Amino acid sequence: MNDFENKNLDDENEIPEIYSLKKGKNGWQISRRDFLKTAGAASALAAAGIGNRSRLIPVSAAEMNDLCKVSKAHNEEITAIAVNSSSTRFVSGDESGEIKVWTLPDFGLENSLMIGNGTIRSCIFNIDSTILYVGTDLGSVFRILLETMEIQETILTDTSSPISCMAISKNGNMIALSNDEGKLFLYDNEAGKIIAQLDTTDHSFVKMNFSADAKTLYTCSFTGNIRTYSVPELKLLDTSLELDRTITAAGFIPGDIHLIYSLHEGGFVFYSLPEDREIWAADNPGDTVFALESSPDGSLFITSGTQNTLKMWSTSNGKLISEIFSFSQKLPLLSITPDGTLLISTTGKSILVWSLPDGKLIQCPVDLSIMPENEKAITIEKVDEVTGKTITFTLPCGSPLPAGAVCVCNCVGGSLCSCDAYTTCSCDSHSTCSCVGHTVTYSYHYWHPN
Amino acid sequence: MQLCRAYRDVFLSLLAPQLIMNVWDEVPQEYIAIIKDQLGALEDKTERHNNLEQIVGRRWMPKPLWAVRNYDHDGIEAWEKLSGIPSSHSRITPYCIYIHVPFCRARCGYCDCYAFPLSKNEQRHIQQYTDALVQEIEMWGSQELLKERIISTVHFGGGTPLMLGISNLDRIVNALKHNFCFSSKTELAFETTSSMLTEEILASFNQLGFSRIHIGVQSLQEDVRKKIGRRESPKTVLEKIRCAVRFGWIVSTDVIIGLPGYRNPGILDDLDSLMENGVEGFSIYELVQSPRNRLFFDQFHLTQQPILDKFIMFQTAFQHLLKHGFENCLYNHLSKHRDKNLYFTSPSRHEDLLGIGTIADGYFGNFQYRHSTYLAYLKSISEKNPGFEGGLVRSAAEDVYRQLEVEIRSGKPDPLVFVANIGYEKSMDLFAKWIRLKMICVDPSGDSCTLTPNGAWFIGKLLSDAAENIDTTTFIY
Ligand code: SF4
Repeated sequence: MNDFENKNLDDENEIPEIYSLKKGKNGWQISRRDFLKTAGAASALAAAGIGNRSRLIPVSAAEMNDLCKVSKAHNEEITAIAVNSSSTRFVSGDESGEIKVWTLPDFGLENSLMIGNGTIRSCIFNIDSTILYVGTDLGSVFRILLETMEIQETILTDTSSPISCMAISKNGNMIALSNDEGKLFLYDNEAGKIIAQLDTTDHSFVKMNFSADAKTLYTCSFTGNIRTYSVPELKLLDTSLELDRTITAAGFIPGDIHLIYSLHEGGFVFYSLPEDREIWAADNPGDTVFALESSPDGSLFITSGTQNTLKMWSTSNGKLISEIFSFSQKLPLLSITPDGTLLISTTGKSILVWSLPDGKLIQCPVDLSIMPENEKAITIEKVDEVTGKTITFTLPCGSPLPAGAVCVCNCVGGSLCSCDAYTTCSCDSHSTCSCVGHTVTYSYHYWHPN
Repeated sequence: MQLCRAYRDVFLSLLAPQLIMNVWDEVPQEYIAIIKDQLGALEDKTERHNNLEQIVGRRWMPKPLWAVRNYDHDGIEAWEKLSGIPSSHSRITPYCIYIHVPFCRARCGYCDCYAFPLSKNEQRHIQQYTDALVQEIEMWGSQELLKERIISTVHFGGGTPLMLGISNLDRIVNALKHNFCFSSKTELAFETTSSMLTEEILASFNQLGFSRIHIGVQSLQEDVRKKIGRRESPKTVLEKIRCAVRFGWIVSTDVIIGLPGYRNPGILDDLDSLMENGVEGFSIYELVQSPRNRLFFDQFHLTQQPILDKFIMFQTAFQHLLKHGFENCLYNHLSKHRDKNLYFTSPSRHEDLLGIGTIADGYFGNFQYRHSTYLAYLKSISEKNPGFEGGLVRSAAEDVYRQLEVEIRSGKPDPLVFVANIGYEKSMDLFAKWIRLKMICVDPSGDSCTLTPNGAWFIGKLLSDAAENIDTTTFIY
């Protein structure tokens, strides 16, 4: 029985037009004309963004779901990320305490290290990208030599609270560290030791930043406070803001004297530190932002929040420019490479990469070593829009291909994979592929027409 | 500052990417608005991060559900199971015949048909294959009641059926007439290259009862013909078409988007010449890559052709034919009244298909069978078997897919068939989506709808949309 026959159609007056059903001699009937009329109306509503059939889930979200099922960068959920200053390295850390270093822009996995001191909470590269500082859930900070992935030193041990926020000064000499109890530490890179620490009344910091001359440190806390400290003394110089509201994320605009913070109820404020005043406020209803990153030139910022949508905003007026990506799952971390060419986010165990400024999803890097043993992989080539170089990278079999990439496996979409003879290869060479350089048996035609 | 500008420029180009495509310069003014309208519908507002190139690029043809699983029966078993099925259908239900001839004079680099050139043993192969076809026809002829069902059309495809020569084709047609039921309306058709066509062939095939011919013209542009290995001059091709038309033949031809260097205005000029010379049907499709034409793709760097360019060329050709009074008789075949393309449209008339010859597929009701490749086919026939590779019975879910597929490929999907198969809500969602994306449009009468050029280009997407709505939980591999 068709589902329209199952509808409760007892009261003729209650039949909404949309069902395009009519009561005829032989009961309820449907006519082609009414059906098409209704379909036309429904399509117009959907196009206008009205009606329950419209939704803001891009078609590619389904593909991304599939992709994330197979494209794992980590064994456990990714909890911290960072990019180096020359945009050539990316680090990701996970719940199990493992960190992985990737080369950019191709996202080749370069190295990994199991630190094993609880979940990785924060990480940062030193200026010349030779050292990586990693903060953990158990309150330790490790100094790791990138070349060998050796832990050179534990610069902070068991502060009893997760090290959730880090910042490095422009000259690379100072590193600010903070834990979730509001404790601040200042590490002198040259001296190789903690040179100052301070118990603040702030409960965990969402962002810290050094001034250009590295003489002051700005902090923005979860509890709604923006404060300025002297460096290296860590003396409180100023409290710019004491909100009784929660700040969920913040980003400093290059130039270091402006910052944007997001409020728990949704919405942002653009704040000038020297002027100690709000420059503009903007709404972002129903979307509590938990990650906010400014573009390197400061013209835009990108947010991710409870709506699982990456949004691009104008810094000059707080207007939404576009929604880059909408997903079914949380995108908790965000990073923009300092050269402004890549936007990186994470979801679960996967890393997602977009090219900027066009916002095209281009990669879902994968650690092939953690893929199930019999998992096949596909090879893809893509011309890097920035460098003009052809990048080759590998994805698990079945992954949608990143935009602009071409599958270079020896496989032919629609043919039968010789590996199992029953699977149809779904490679169309530019959006999906399920074959792996298999030779394929070609099936001649379409089962009529011959 | 520079970066900021770059953001703005790219953002603007996302909003109006068509403005920067020079392929538009090749589109006649009169079609630009309608093609932009078609394209605009694809620019789904929920996909703002995608540009049109990406959207248009997502295109491929899924295989039917039953074509991606194993056979239920091997060849011999399939023939046994099939015995009686064709005859059990009503005596008055017509069916059609397809005969595959896998030979060609030379192998065209771009072609992905199951066909090959013959070497010095040409005559031996031709003889062997003709004998095999006649034997298979006779095997089918032994199904008594099959003889009583009318044949709507016999379509000789390939390859180049004319490679068999007039006398062999004459023998095959006579075997068909002897074993099956032809009516005065049965249409005999064949596919050929123009180079194999002569006045003598046209005249004698007329006498055999052939009335429709599908000529692989491919292009009338000298440079394109050179690249694809067509040696005849465009003038000769057109003379042959005129000759066929004079003899009363219905002539149709292909328009292949994606041949090297084949662009507008060349495509439209060709359509005009072919129309002027009496061609009544055009099948428009995109040249797709397969293992058989991979080298050709590499040679002419065809994988690098912008997909949006091809999409626009496809749309332009489609619009041009619509303007000249051609109508869809199949999703990608536009024709004038006389060209009914009976073989390719037979599924819409719910006809069975008797496939004969190597790799030919056929079906009776929900029983599908496929023939083996050339050598295996000859061997099987020599052992008095029908040359099947295998057969299967379509499951309930596969049957539903089949019905929806037939509707979509017909170019005029009937909403009621969808409602009956997948229910009202899913059908409504599908049709509303397709109308919104301008894949289909409701006809002026309001009672039916037709696939648009968008729908014809994205036929694979429509088929996979339909497949996604089928409950395949009962589908057993
Ligand atoms: S295009 Fe025609 S002639 Fe050329 S190989 Fe293919 S079937 Fe043969």
